[in-house]
Amino acid sequence: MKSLLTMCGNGYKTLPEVSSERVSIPWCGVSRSVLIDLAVTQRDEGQVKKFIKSPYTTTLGGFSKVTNFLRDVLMTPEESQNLVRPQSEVAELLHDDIPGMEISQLDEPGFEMVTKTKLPPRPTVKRGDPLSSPEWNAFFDAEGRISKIDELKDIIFRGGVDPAIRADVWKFLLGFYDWDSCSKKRQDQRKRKVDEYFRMKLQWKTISAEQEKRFTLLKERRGLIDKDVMRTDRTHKFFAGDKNPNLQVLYDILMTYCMYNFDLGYVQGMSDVLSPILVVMENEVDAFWCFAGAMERVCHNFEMDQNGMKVQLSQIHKLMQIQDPELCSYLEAHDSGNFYFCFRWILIVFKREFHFHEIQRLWEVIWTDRPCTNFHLIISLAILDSEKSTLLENKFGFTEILKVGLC
Amino acid sequence: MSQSGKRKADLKVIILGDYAVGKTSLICRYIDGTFRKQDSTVGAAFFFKPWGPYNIAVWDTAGDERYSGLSHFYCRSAGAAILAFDLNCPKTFESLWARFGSILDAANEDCLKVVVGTKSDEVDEKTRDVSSEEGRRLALELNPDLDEAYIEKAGAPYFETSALDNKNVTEMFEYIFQRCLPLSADQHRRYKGKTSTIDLLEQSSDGGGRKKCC
Repeated sequence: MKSLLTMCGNGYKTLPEVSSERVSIPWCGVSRSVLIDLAVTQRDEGQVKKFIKSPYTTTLGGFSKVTNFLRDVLMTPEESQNLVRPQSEVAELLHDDIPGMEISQLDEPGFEMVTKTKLPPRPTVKRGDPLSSPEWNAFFDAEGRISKIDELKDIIFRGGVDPAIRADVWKFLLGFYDWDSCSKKRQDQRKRKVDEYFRMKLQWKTISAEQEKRFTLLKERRGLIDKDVMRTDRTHKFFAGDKNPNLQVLYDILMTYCMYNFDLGYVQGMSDVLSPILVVMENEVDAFWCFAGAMERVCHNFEMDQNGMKVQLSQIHKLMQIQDPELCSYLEAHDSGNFYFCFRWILIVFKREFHFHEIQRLWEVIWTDRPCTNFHLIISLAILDSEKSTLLENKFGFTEILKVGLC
Repeated sequence: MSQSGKRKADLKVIILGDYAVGKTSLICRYIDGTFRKQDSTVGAAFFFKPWGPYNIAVWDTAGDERYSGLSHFYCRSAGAAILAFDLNCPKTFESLWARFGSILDAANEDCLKVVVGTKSDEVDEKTRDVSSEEGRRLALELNPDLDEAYIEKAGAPYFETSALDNKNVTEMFEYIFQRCLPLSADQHRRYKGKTSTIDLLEQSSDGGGRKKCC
């Protein structure tokens, strides 16, 4: 639950007056209050049993006691009266007859359990226009510093970026340039990065074939990269044709990344992360650093223990338990509760699930970190939601569900 | 979602093997009848093939060692496994023992394991490192349940293939389907109306024959 809250924390930040810290504090309070309740009062063992039997209800019960206590102690009567919302605001909620809501009083005496609620129809969301070149230029002040960074990110989140200025904008989104840098600083930054890139490139370029015989790890990685470069997006015109010079650039960047992050090295899937970036940058050094920035976001996906992947897949599971319990139980009942069938989506952030131009748009939206850093998990839920009827109506089993992840 | 997504598979075949030995090319040669440069497989890929009255699901896996855990998961309820290695790269043959034996734990108990050497078009008989005899031996060791009479009749589950030259690819897949889904007039009737569950252990009298059916 905590990870879920942390995950949503950023999302809450957009709401005034509710910070992620404030969201998480009451939860710490809950468990503590229950413990105090259990330890101090010790009325009888019944309370402990109750907690073990239904921790959620007991916890929330404990929570409400603390709330009442705090309200009485900390607030004057006038203040607490002000807290009561006008009847007109909550009338709709209090109305007995909310369509789709089922309330059961059988399971937990003294509590009403809402077993099913039907959310109102989804609001229509209209995508904005992509950030245009004049708009982008207008964001820079006299020193070449971006003013109103948040506003800019909002535009990108809602509409993406005009392909004509992608190479410039992505450099900020991927950390090649700092958001608050001025033109002068960026010139220096770029110069430094060019030097650093060629220094690292020389490191592997100068290893002789003879030396490589005693450098198995590098040799193995070279072999992997060699094979993957030959089979990355070869149908895209940028990489098509047998003697395409861009293949060499792809190769050089991946080899240099090996030196940049030797602990991670090269893992299948990384060339997928690089390819759309190289197509946009059309420049080896820029593409390398932007790739390094993009990898910063997803490198945990490629680690040997695969822990980063497991965590994210279980987060999708937790989110779905709340968002769509029906689909969630169906997947659990068909051995798919580990959400392994979403593996490729998460690993390379939907790269193989969308067309090339679509993935460039999706990625720039995700890189704004709006509305939260883990927005890709919500996107996964949305995709599953769109496949829900197919899944349920056709009574898909384990194998068919796995296939959904690969369509 | 494509129409094929709604069909259920009668047999699940999984292909395992090291990085870039040509797993996807092998499948595409059989299913599309073509050979072209393949993108590397990330996670897994899925192919569907009707064969006689049956639907065959062929699961392609990623060769990168990091995704072994995932391959293990994809093996679940596989009726046949193709263990692919590059005939020109002995290391990929060793991997079949070292890496993929344990992955197959999740497959069906009677899962047929077929050892398949790839890229036979590149083999130089004078310098080849993995002999046909070694390949055959591994295939027999992996399938202790195959009785001698069957091997005598249908051959060992070992094939040397070339997706480029289209050599032995169809023969290999046919071997698997004939063994796992034997066709007979009797069974045509029996399986009518049944969709997904079949008894893979049961074998018809003429099950071992090499009959063309599709």
